[in-house]
Amino acid sequence: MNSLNHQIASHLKKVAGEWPAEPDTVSINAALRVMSRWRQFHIVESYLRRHGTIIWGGPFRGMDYVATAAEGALMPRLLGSYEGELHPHLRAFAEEDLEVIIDVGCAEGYYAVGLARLMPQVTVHARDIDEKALQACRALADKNGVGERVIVGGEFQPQDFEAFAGRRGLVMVDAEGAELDVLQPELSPALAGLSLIVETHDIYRAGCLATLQQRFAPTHDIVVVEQQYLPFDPPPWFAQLPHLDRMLAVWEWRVSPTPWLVMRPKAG
Amino acid sequence: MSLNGEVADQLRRTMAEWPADPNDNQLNNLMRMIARWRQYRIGQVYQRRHGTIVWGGVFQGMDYVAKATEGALTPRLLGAYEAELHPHLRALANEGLDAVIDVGCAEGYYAVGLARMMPQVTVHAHDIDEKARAACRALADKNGVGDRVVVGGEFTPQDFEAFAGQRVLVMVDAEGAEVDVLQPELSPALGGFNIIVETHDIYREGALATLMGRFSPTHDIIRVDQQFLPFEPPPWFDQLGHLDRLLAVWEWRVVPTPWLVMRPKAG
Repeated sequence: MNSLNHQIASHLKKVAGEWPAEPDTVSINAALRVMSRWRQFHIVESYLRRHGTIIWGGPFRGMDYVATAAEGALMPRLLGSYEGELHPHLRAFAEEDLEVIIDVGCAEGYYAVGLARLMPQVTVHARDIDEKALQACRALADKNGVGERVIVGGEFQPQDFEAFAGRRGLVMVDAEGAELDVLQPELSPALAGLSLIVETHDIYRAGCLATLQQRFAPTHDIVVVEQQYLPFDPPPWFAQLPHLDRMLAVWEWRVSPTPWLVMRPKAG
Repeated sequence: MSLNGEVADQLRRTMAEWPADPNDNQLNNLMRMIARWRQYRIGQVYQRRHGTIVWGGVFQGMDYVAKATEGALTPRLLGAYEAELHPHLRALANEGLDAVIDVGCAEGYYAVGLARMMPQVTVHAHDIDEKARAACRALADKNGVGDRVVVGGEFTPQDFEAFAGQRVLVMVDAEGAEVDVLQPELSPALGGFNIIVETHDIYREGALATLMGRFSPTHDIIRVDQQFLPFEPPPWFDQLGHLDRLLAVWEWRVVPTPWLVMRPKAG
C-alpha cells in the first residue's frame, strides 16, 4: 500500500507515537503543517484537472507553469495569488520600460519567465546555483515562447552586476540568506543605478534585513513590504470550497516572515 | 491534562481507529481538529495582548467574549469575520434604520455590534437557546447598549408585523430555519424590510433558491459568496508564520453558506 493517504497516516502515527503524553506546541504544529500540505496537494490536483498548468490570475495570468514545483508551494503560484504583496510593485516596474531583469535564485523560473511575459521588451538573466533549477527554468521559458529573452546561468557574483551599468534594470533576489553575499554595493557600483526587489531571510542570516537596509539607504529609496491580507479573485469553483480549503489554497508555506525590500535608485 | 495533551490524545485515539489507508474525509477531519487547536492558540495570544476587544472591521472596539457559544472566536475578535457583509452593513448604517431584528442572535456578535454601530437603533435579538439569550444580554450590558438590545426567544413569521412601517434590517442566521422564519405570505411587513440572511442548503436543501424565489417579487437581491478580502491585522501579526495568519481568520464553515442581501424594490 503506497497511496498518499497511507503515507501521511503512517508518518503521523509514527510521529505521534514518539510524542510524550503532553507534546509541545511546536510538535503538534509540525503535524498540522504536514496535513495542511497534504490538503493543499489535493487542491492542486483539482486545479490541474480543471485548468491544467495555466495560471489563473495575478500579473502572470495565462503563463503555462508546472505541475510540480522544485520548491515551495505550487497552489498559490498556479492561482496567481503568490506573493501578492509584490504585485503592485511589479506592475509599476512593468510601466517603466525596463531593459533588463536579473533574477538571482530563479528556481524553476516563476519570476524569470513571468516577468519576461509581463515585459515584452525585457531580457531576463535568470541565475541559480542548482543545475536542475536551470534546466527547469529553460524549459519553462521555452514552453512560454520567451526562450530567446530568458538567459539562464549559474552562480552570480557581485562583480557580474557591472555588465549592466547604465541599463534600466530590476534585480530580483530570493537566495535564502545569500542576498547578503550577492548584494554588496562596495563590490558592485552598478547597483546604485538599478532597482531591486529582495526577499530577506533573517531566519537563515540574522540581521539580514537591517544590513541590507543600511547598505542601500545612501543610494536607494527603500520600502519594506510585509505579508498582507490581500483581495484575490479565485476561479468560480472556489465558491464551493470549505473555508479552510480556501485558506490552504493560498498558503505559501513560509514558517516565519521574510519581508521584501523594494529599492529604487534615488532621483538625481 | 493540558490542551496539548488533550489534542495529542484525541489525535492518537482517532488514528487508532483508522484503516492503514484512511480516506480523505478521515484525514481532513483530523486536520480540522488540529487546525482548531492552532486557532485557539492564536486566540490566546490575541487575548493576552488585546483582551476581548475587537481589533478591526465594523465592530472595532466592541468588548466581546473570551469563549464563543458557537463558531470561530478568533476571526470575530480580529473583526475579519464575515467581512463579505461589511460593505452592506456600512451602507445600511449610513441610511439610518429604526430597528434591527436579529433572528438566531447567539451570544450577540451582530446584535450588540449593530447596536454600537447604529446608535439610534433598537435591536430585537432572538434565539431559541436560553443560554444564548443570557449571553447576549450580558454582552449588551457590558457594551453599554443594554437599553437598546431587547432579547427574546423563538421568533415566528407573524412577529414581523409589529415593525410594519419602520426602517428595519432583518438579520437571519438560523441553520436552515431561515426557510421557516422568512415566509412573506405570513409576514406582509417583510415586503418593506431590508433582509440579510445566511442560507444553509446543507441543513435545508434548496434554502437559497427557495428564498430567492420568495423575495424576488418584492426585493432586489444580491447573492454574496465568500471572498478573499483585504484586512489590517494587529502589527504583531507581521511576525506570524503564513499558516497562522490564515488560520487566524478561518471561519470554520465546512460548506459555503452564501448570504442573500435583499433590499425592498424602489417605488
